[in-house]
Amino acid sequence: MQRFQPNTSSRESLTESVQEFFADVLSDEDISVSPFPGGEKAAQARLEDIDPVAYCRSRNFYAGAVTRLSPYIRHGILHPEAVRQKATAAAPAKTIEKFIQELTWRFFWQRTYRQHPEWIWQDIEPYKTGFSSAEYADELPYDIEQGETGIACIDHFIQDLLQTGYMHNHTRMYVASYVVHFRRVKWQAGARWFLRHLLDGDPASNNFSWQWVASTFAHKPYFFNLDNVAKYCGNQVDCSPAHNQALDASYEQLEARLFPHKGASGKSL
Amino acid sequence: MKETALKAIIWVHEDALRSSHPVFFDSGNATRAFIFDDALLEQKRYSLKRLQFITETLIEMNVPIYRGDTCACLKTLAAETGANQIRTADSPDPAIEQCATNLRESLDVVVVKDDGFLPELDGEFHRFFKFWDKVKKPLLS
Repeated sequence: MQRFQPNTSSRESLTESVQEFFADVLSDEDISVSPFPGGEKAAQARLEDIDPVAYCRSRNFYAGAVTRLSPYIRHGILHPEAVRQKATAAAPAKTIEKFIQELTWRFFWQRTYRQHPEWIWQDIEPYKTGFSSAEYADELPYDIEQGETGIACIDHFIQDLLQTGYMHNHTRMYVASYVVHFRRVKWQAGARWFLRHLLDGDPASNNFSWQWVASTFAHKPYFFNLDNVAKYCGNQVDCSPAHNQALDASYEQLEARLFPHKGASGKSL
Repeated sequence: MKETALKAIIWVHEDALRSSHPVFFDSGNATRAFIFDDALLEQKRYSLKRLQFITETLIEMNVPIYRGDTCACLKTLAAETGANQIRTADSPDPAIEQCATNLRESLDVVVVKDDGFLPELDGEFHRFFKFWDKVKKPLLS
């Protein structure tokens, strides 16, 4: 049993202490420190800044008024009721239903986790993509892990993950869909990778969301095209067709390309 | 009651890093401990970002941080301090329940639930919106 007594004289010193204490489990490339500080004070400061009305209006946009409270809620640093009360003090609950609904998602996943802990790493249902689980790769390709896929928007979102430990929810769905459907990698490989980096990573929300994208916990696979990314992220992220060729197609073209064995009904042939 | 609380160790884990969590109520000067479990560190391979975030939170909470085998550490701390009870926050994580089961062989283990957020509800819901329809009323009031 080792006691960890980090140097707390500055954030940099603390980082050095963490690097030293966990040197055997950290890779040499793992040098990024998140701009999100831990702790209840940081959580409270962030809570003071939420704008639930703007959130409901803009939450799907990359630059939307998302709260970034998830790392604090995930670790129990903030109680969800405190967040709900803060939000409803700013606006009547019925006008910010989407905000409260999103807060509830996490507890829905936690409840499912408690009822079915075995579902965390196993396919809950078969893929509805026309492929069997065996046709997906077990390991995450290196270019994805490093954010060097050559697809500008995807690499941008992955760099958010690697540099900050935080991703906008919409970009999580894009990256998860890219991993599972465009590269045909098992959702479990992507889920493990996210859990390594996401400050708010918890097995329930993370893995069940990956299963939702993969279609092993949903009626159909989630996929997207460049037009969709441009609509929600175009002002902040390179969404030029020249730098995102793999995504630049209609939904019909992509569906035929990604799921060639899937019937028109959405079921496997 | 008070005597039991004074002999307790509060096992703090990453699902409940809030000083106002009920696990800390009436705990007197009970020893607190957070343990980075060696086997879980190896399995999860948390990034520097995650390890630092958790460490910063624990420092602010003034919770001593250890590294090793969680159950073995807690048993050692109990022996060192003369504690006969481990108190920990409720979590859906099976690893926590597994360790609690192991500890129960030699110690009293109390699992403390957090204050509720959602109404208690029976049954399973495989899709969120059916669940939402059941719980939304009090949340939107």
